[in-house]
Amino acid sequence: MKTTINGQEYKFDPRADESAIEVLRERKQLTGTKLVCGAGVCGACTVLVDGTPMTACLLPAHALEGKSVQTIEAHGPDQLHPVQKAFMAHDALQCGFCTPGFIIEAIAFYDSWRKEHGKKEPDRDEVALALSGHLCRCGAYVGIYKAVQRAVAGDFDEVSEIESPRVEALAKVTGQARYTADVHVPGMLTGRILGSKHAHARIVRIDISAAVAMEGVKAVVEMLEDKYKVARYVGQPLAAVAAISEEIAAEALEKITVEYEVLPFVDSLDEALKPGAALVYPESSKNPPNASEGPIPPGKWEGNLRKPYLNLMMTTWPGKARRIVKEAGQDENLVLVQRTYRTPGQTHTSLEPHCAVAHWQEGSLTVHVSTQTVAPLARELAKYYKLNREQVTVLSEYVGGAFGSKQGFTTETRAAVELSRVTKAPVKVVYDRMEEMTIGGYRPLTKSDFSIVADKQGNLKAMTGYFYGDCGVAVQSQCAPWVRFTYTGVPKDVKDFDVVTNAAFAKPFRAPSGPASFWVLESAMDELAHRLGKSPVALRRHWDDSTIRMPLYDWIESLPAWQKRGEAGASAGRFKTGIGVAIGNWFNIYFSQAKVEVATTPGGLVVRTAAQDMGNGLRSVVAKAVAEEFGVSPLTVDVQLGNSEYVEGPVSTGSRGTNSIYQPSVEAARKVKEKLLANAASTLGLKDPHWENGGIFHEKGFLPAAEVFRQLPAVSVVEKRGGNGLFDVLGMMPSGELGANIVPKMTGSVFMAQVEVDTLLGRVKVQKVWAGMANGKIVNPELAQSQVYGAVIQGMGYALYEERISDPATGTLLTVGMEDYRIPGIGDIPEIEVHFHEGGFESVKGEACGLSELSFLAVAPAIGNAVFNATGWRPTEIPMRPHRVLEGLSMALPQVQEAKSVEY
Amino acid sequence: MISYAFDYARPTTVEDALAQLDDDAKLLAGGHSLIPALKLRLSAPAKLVDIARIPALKGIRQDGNELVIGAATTHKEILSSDLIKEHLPMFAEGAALIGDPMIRYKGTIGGSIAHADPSADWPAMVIAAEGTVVVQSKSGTRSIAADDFFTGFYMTALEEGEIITEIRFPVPAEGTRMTYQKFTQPASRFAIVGCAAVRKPDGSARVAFTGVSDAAFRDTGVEEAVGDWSTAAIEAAAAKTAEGMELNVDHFASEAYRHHLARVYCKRALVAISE
Repeated sequence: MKTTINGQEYKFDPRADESAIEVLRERKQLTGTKLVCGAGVCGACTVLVDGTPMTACLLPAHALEGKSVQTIEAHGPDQLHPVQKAFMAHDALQCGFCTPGFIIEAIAFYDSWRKEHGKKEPDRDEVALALSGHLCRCGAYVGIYKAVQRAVAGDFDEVSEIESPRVEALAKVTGQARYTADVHVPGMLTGRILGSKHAHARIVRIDISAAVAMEGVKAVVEMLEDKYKVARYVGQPLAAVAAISEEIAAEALEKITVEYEVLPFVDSLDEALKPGAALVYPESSKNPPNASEGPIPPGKWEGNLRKPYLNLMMTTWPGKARRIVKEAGQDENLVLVQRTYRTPGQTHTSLEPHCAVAHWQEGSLTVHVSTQTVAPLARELAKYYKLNREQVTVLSEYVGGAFGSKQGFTTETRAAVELSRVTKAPVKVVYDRMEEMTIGGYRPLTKSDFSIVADKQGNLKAMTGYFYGDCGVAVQSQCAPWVRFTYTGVPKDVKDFDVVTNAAFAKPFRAPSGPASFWVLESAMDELAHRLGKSPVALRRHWDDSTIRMPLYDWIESLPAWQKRGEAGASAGRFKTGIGVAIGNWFNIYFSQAKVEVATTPGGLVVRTAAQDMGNGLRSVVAKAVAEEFGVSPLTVDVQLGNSEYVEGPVSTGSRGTNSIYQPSVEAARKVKEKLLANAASTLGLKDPHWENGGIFHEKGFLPAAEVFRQLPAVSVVEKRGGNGLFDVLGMMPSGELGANIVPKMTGSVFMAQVEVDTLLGRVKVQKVWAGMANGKIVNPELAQSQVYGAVIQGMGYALYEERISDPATGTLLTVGMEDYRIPGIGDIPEIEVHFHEGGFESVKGEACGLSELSFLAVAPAIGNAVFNATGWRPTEIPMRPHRVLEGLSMALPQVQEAKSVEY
Repeated sequence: MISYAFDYARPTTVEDALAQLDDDAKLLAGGHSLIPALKLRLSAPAKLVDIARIPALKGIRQDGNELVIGAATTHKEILSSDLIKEHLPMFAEGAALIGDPMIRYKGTIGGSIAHADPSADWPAMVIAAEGTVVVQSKSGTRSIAADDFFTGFYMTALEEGEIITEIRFPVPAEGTRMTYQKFTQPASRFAIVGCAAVRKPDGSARVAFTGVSDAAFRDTGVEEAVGDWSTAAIEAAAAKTAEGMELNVDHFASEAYRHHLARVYCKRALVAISE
């Protein structure tokens, strides 16, 4: 059959069941079109068919006959559409995986809008309707709105040069950025994983003979890593197949017969704690996975409950704290808030699924993998497979979202490597969306019993908090530390308990359990302030031991929206508005061993480090640091990341990227500059050379940077970050793998939210969020702002919509598609105002600290406190889905029932 | 998420399509419901018969006192049609609420009602507008009243070997008012509840719901109670919504919450067309 792709006729003979996306991505290697949900929900695979946007994942290849298809590749770097330029200029992207789909749809919108309305700027609602079929997990929607509005209005029609704050923006808006999911190696096999059908079962026998005998199947390997041969959750990998095509691999999985001895299971925290509950780990030796980035402290098991031993770091006068809480009821000078709070499992939902391409050859292992930990993964692979570190190369040039879920030696990588080890061929394993949602990772569910006591004058007296985390079969939800290290100096008894269930294991997700901790602490704090009749901001100021947040409290108190806020529940009518505030506290982490290499080549500056950019902007931070030293544009600096052969950079966890890499980049650039100046004198004979305005000034004139690099011999400098001297706290994280140092002074945030609660239908609309951040120097303001926008949007998803739900009868996850698991879309987002208070971290080298996790913490409690302020009803459980809000309101406010009968 | 292997045929006439439609074949229209089901291996037809390019199944026309919508007419074509805007404005309003732009470009009215998703928008509108579903098989054609068409959870009165060719609607009399009101499931954009309501010049009503129960249904209890369309009557009618029925429950809406929403949306719809 014949079709036209990007203006060129293409003749091919598709399989009957082939889809359009296979034609584009596999036959044509047009990998700018991405496959994400596979169900027409996310829009990542959007292409134009005869000018109309369509989801290529749902289109049969045969339906393209006689049609003209246009993909993102039709708009390459030399033929940029105004929409692409606008996306670059307004930083309308982060990881970039959803970007081509958004751009294709926006181009169609641009054309249709222009035809009807000319250059009139569309409003946000119009843009939201046009792009409602697209999802972005990083939360780049603020930039997307602006980009589409301004492109349609004509700002970019005549523009030829675009300066984007994000150095790789051009590669991302043109679909040229190559993610692991796009990697194609000749002779590559497809690997697929067989997951357990039961939530808890002994695997008696796995018969692979029929699968092995199939033509096109190259290897079948066992994947179950349980010494008792027990599968403990639905989807737990049992075996993996490598075959010459995805279809054959899928068929082979069905030919593997597994004999299960089905065991009783528990699927929820509450069930797991009941007397006589089925045990997730009935064996005496238990070896649960770790859901955190830190080590697992010792604990003692009681059924499915794992209790901590006394931890002196985590408690201060615990006995006194318990006594004050217990006696607070009898003391009329004390006010006690005591409640149980709940938070849901939040699925990472990275748009690029977990994926790896492994190639095991004689004497070497090369693995392309979508990862946050390039360098430690190479070490870990070498250790696991008993290779020398030099024999292993890990490559991860672009990462399509990770948010904590892609750390270390993950399951898809293990499958790819094991299959390649057997076949000696390159093997690619990509999770499909169901696997990604089921076993790709999620933030633990929590249930917390929390008490807080203050005296009538507002002095904080004590806290007790018992945090029960459900990480599935894993342990370590770790809520207590955030409560321990916020509002310090009073008696506290805070402890983490793990409750194991027969569910896939949780993973760290942006500020791991911090959002749950602050949901509890800041909801309770707000309630206490209300009960005391005190301003919740003034009271926080009184309790807060961190000077870093004081300017942020000033800022909040200066905002008219804060000053005009009404009494709780005073808002009249069906739609009630309210204002809420919450704070966040984050450890200031860096990696003292982080190294970066700055080099010159005749073509310009090259920077290399074995780090990775998940879309949070590390590439641009490094480029800017170096470019500013040389007085050149960051776009002229070639930053090469994602290769374990380079000098070791930081991992992308714990908000440590900027803190670890900014300063050594500056230092290395400085030293390269000094070398160049010395060489300018010695080899070119320039007198009095000094660097200024993007080049070398000397006695006789000026040599621009490009000429300097071309004429002078290449130089290279490797610089290590090093510690902060006395200010370091070492050893709080394992330094070998995810090496980290911690500065005792924490970064801080104060957030405010304004909501509108529909008391008839239960919907909560977040109208505006004010994000106050104090994390030191802001290296790249546009990208830092984009990060905060993304955190607000993900945090709003956590507060209002997102929730993992499983079937209690089978333990099977129900929220396995993006049509069931609801992440925020463009139409949901509030107006967001970001305020950075810089400074305060002079003791930190480079003075720049991380912000990704800090910006997530206070979002949900600020929204919850605003709901209380609007309605007088105190939410304790998130997500605040409409039915929960209505149930809560009906209990709290009898008049709501009445309102329902008169309004519509 | 990869389908079983299947054959593919793209006939250009209904007769060809019927010839291709053997026991193990399934009809493919827009594909937004069927293809995901194939990828999840919930459905395993041996062959897909793609009817999206059969001219006889497309288009909107007036035939005497009836409006005729071809089964393979897309949501986008319906919402853009002047004939629809003039005579069945509820369809333009409702079609614009379906999914997102890409779903509206591909998805078809015939595909939607044949699939009979309990949360789809068209079934309620087709019932409220007194549609007649015309189907063709090798043995001829027959017509099924919309009231009798939706028989259960993803079930219809269609029989093996039948293709929906068109849906016919009486041209509403001058002065008829109609509306479709929907509470959207925010991730999939299906209806958690959808209410289609028609008020005829004689004051009688037709009211149908989707999303509320296992299939879209006409609610005669509401229709009868609406009486003189006074505020009190509308209130009473809305209170009767889905009376005595078993309601859907999912993780977006409990039974009680869904019932609450259905009453609110019923009332909204009735008020919107009350004057």
